[in-house]
Amino acid sequence: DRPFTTSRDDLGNEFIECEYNRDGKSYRSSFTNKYLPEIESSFFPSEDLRNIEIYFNELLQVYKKRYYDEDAIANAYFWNTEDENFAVAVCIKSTVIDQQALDEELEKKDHKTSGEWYSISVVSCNIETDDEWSYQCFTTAYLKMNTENCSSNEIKENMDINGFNTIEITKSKELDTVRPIESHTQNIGKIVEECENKIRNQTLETFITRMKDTTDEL
Amino acid sequence: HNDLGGGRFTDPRSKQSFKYDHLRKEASEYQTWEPDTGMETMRAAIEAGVTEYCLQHYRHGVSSTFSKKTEDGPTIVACIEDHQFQPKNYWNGRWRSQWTVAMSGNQAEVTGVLKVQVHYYEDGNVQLVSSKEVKETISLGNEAEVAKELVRIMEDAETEYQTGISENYQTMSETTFKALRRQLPVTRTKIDWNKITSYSIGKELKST
Repeated sequence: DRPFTTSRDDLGNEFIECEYNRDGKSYRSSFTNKYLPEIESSFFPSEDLRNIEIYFNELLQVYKKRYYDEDAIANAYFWNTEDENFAVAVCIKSTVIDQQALDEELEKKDHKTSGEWYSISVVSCNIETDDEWSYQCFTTAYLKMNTENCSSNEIKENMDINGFNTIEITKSKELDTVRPIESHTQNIGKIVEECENKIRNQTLETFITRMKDTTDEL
Repeated sequence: HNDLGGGRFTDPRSKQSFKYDHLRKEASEYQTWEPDTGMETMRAAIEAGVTEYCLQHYRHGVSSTFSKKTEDGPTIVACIEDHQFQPKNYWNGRWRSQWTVAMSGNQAEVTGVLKVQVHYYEDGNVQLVSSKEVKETISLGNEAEVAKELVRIMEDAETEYQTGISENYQTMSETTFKALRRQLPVTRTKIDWNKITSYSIGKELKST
């Protein structure tokens, strides 16, 4: 019940396997542009689109380090839709294990927490005029968190929260036709960042604040 | 604990047994039924204590206390359940606790299993599942003392559990969640996509 899995490609890069880079039972690495396991496939981005994919994924790694950490995995998969239009799925996975609580009192117990975050932002990019494009971003964030307490006099406690929530933003932006690769990357990057920031706060609100209020009601 | 088999269950409080239809959620075919006389005074005392405790601490909780003979000896089991369904607010939740008093000689081992489940489904779908297990040994005096001691243990454990859940929410939001994704980069500003350049920009980049 996880939204996607990860694997390693021929160059040793860890990449995300999801619906958007799948053909049959094989998945395409955004690093090598090859399917694993190897198959004859016609599902590849066009040459122009592949150039955007390469550039965007490079900058995505910087985005990943700034908002997540080195161990997080981030991939963007592009595909052509109609005419010049295209879409991209930006997938990110982040995990935390055994985060020790900073609270002094909780340290007395054997206290373990862990968490998993998966976000998928699908951005639909459609031309409006020569230098204006519309970007529609649907972001889904899946979150799973668990804490376990085990204190000395045989008290065992376990708490598990998991689920998902969604958000959507649509914006029209100018495209610099002299530098389309950089320009699309910037436009897509900004809208994904905006969606992820909003959904991060929405997730915190839903998962923690609302759930806590609900539990208190019982 | 009160399953007689053949779809029939017992209610020691009213001293009846009944048939229960799970699909229709209806009870029928009531008959008189006597609980185990050897344990009855103890069971009744505990039942009184638990019922009172339940009334005080739960909005609309329901409790039942059963007695049974197990391979470990005479045992009394008290169960509490409370739930809320609020579809207009997109949530529902349930609390269950089961307290077992296993008596042996002049001591008893008290085991409590507490469970909470909450489901919230506005803009998505979130589930909380939590449980806690507690064990304590008490000495057996007269029935009233035992009931009082049990209720004291229940109150302490269930209150502590509730507080613990609150604390865990706090911890999860302050440490675990923060470690999963920052609110903003360390620079405290959003990314300047124009400025950030990669260290090994695509060598295969062909000019358009």
